Amino acid sequence: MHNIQVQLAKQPDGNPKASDFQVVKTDIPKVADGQFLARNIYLSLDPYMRGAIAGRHMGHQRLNQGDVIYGRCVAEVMESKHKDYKAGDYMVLEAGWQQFYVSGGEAADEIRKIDASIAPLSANIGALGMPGLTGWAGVEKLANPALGSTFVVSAAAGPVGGTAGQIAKAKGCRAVGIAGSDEKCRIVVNEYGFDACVNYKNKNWADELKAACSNGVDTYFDNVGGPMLDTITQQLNLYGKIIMCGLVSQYNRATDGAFHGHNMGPFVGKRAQLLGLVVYDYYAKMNEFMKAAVPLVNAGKLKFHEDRAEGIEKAPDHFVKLMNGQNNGKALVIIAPEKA
Amino acid sequence: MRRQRDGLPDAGDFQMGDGPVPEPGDGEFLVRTIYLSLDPYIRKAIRGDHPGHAVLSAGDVIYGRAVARVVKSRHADLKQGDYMVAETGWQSYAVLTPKKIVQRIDPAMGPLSTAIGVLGMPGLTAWGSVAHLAPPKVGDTYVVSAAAGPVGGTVGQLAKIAGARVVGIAGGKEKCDVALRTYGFDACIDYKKDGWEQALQLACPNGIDIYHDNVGAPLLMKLVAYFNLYAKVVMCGRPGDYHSGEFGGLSPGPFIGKRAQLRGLVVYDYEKDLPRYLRVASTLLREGRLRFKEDHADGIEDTPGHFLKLMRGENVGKAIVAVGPEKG
Repeated sequence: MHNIQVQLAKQPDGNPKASDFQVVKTDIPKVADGQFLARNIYLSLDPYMRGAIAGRHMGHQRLNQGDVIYGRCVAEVMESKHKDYKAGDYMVLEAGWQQFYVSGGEAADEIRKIDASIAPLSANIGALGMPGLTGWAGVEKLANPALGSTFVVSAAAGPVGGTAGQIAKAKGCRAVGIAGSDEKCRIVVNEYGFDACVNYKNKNWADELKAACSNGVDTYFDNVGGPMLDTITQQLNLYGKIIMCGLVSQYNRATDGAFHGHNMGPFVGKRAQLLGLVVYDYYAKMNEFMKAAVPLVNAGKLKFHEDRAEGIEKAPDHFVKLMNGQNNGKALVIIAPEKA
Repeated sequence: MRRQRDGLPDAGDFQMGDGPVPEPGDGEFLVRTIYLSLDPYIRKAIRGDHPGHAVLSAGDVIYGRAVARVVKSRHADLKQGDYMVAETGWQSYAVLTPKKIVQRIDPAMGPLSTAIGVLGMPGLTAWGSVAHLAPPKVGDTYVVSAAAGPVGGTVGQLAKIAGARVVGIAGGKEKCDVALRTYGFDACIDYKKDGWEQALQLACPNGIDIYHDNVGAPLLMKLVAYFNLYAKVVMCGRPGDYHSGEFGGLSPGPFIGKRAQLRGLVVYDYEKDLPRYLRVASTLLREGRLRFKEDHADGIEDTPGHFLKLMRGENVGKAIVAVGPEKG
């Protein structure tokens, strides 16, 4: 048996291409004392990885040619010489884009054991994982939107935006999504149950948003940055809140390309509150999040939509698709069946 | 107004006019200008670029607020001798309606000129920031830009009274001296000097907890590197002063990394709190714990020259034109 892994072939320039990656067959490492071997089942693909590869994302060193790409996986322990883990344990961990991973249980591996009976395993890298925690933290811990207020979220079909909007809706807000295709908007409205969704690729999307937010925008959960933020700021109510969470519109810019700069005047005029959100701060609140989210999942009020590719060697193409906004919902790669 | 042009204003953009003192009609009153306030927003207001201000044409009186005194009243609420801050424009007499009153003045509160400075809207702006939007904790490091001006100077002094370590940023040694000696800041950084970022870092060994921004994105984008996690920013430049065309603009990335919290401040939101602020500030003023610095010109005809000096950033402290005597 071998371990197939995906390595960096060369640093992407602008939008990543499949040729920036290389699929390599290596040996499965031996398990030493104090270590365990995990087989990866699902690989999570997330926009932040684009910055992580380039060393622009906090906590991630810039990758060199031959380095395994960063990535979180749902995995099962196959063999363990570590006292805290035993064969058959399920977990989420930072295992990279590969089939097998040997861990010593270090903090850097960000291991989180999961209860396979609570929800589908793959949800632990989506609505019940870090993306879901991000959405929940932005809504419950930062914005705390009022009952009846209008909550707008971009990248609404994705696991962060989708969870944020559904949590806001569960709190009694009017939830309005923004997404990049009619199919994504269909998922947002028909599956996630948002009140409305606007396809920002329509020429009149700003007018459509205005029509969908007849009382103005009270909270904007921003996953994309760029000119869209300027447009939505114009529709923000006085004292409106902007959760600064992601900048997906800016991640693909070339290495030396400038970020979009926002005129601060409108933020001042609206007395806006711009609040930076980093999910790492809320890891310790994972249990609190699960207490809120699992009942919502069971009640059918927190749904998720997955865009799956099968086989680790498909990861580069699937990531390119994600970074071009062509995925629908949570992008993940099936590396192996759930049951060995 | 003599002409509209692009770019920095020059003396040729203004002209002096002369006419008889007008008579107030029913419901109007005549005021005499005492201290005229010069502010950066006026440049945008002249062009119609500032909320509530239409573009001016040749022959129009320039926009401006002033400490003024009622000479003759045909309005029931106002009597001769009343002091106020009002939208008089750049002139020695003006006929007004109550809509033009910014604030009534109780001369017992402090020197009359402070009604357009530390005891006026600039002071209230500082109060909105320090008392309401981002109150510092004892021991916080508090940074403020345009530190020699009436907003920045008051912000820093209030933050210091609230227990913060206060570091000003200003352009030039003279302005830094005002921040240090007059206002009593712990440090002041001259951003026009080479190596100012290192100097700032040295002045903020524990990082920046709160930044009150009076100047906009280019400086803010530099300062974010020295922010502590969850640092707060009060965005306070007048909207008209911010221009994405001139500046690079704000990009959210570094603020996300710092979990920064940015809040926009508009002074009008705190007008209801003005009486409370005036009680606090006039006491501090009397006790010598709150200080101000004014940059006076003398006579209405010196107004354009003084305004150009302000536009070049050469004023030190609140720019005021003394137009007429306080009494009489």
